[in-house]
Amino acid sequence: MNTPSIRSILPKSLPSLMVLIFGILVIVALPTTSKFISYRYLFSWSMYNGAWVHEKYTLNYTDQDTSRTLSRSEVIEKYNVNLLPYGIKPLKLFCDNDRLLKSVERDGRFSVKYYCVLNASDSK
Amino acid sequence: MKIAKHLDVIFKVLITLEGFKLTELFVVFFVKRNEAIFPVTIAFFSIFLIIKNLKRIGLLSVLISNYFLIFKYSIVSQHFAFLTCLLTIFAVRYLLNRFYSKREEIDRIVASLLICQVSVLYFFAALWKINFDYFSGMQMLEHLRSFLIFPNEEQPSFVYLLMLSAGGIAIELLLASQLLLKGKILEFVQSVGFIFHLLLIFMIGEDLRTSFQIFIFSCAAIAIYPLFNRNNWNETNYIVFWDSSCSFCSKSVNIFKKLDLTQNFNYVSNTEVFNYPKVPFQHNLIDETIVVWDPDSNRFWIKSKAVMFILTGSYLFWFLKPALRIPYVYRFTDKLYDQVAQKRSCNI
Repeated sequence: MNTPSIRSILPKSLPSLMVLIFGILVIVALPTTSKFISYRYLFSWSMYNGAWVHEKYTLNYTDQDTSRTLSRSEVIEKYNVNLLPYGIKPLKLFCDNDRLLKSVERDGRFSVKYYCVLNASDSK
Repeated sequence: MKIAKHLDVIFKVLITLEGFKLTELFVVFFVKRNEAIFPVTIAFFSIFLIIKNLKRIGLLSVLISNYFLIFKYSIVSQHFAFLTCLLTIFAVRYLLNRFYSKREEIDRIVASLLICQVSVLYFFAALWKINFDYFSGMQMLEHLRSFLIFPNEEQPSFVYLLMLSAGGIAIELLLASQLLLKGKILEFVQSVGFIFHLLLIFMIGEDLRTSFQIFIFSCAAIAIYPLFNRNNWNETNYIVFWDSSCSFCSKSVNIFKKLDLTQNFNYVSNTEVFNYPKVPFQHNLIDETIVVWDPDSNRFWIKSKAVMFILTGSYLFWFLKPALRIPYVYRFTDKLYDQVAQKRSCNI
């Protein structure tokens, strides 16, 4: 069977083509204009639960007396733990730590907090 | 145009997935006593309107409820938004059907938009991964750690991780460009895509609920794949000849007809074969085996290859198409076919 060309499967009439072009523009434009739609929820399965979003992470932890916020670079520098901008499991490293981590919060418009509870580091 | 049949089937698949998703949300919100259970309930019952052929109002109600759940209640799971997006494109179909008489044109628009949506999804998935963090392989490691596939399970070498990370990106870029492919390459890429999604369900899904959500996402994406095959856009003339005196054959053909959701094949019994004088094989061949004939290319397939051709030509088993091209396998499967054929029961 001869495979039809891409052109032959497209709509033939001008109004139909215009509707199609408008639809494609909406679909393609959303990832570049709408952070809500594109970055996290729609166009990438890999961003599931906020994974792989290039945002600054801050680590809030409570020591016995003090509460501090650490940036990602500080965490790497001080504790030699690479808190990646994705994934949830690395946080377990902190939750299991004696340093009494309270939460890790992504510093973004749609931030998600990860609370450390016993045997579960990824609860939302 | 055959694409209309494909769109009908895809819509049924997506609505079924929506039903599964809403059931999950209903259970979760019921247990948590969350007020979001109300839009979920409305959406759930709207599905019954769609089933009762009130597609326009049913779909509108489902979509309003879905968007309400997304924006008001922050049900922001990616798979749910993706499913909602695909259903929104179908809403365009039922909306335009009301105002525009050229249904073929509408179906072309809708099918093209669905293709665009899935391609954009894969493209952006690949695009956002092209960064140092992903190529470091740590993300892959998180997914693979429990599968013991490396010589050193705890710390596989960077080369392994790099290859896997790059491989994942390459697959997504290929899947994004499916529309540009055709023939053997497209069949192979689509099969790889099927396996890719299967692996996602098992590797990323850390618990039953996550696996279920990725399952919904994977099914929604894979449901669109047959549209990428441009051969599926036109009517086919494949004819399946079968032996009507054999009850086993009759039962088999009934199963094939049920599986053939997009009606790719015309089924003709051996009593009617005389209406087709130009077939490139002896008529009595049909007494021995099922035969698939393509009048356009004048090619025909028999025995296990014919069975495989029918199955892979259906909407449900397209991902097995590369199996048709595996050499030597059919020598063995044909022997198996012959053994089954000898034991079949006949009415005569």
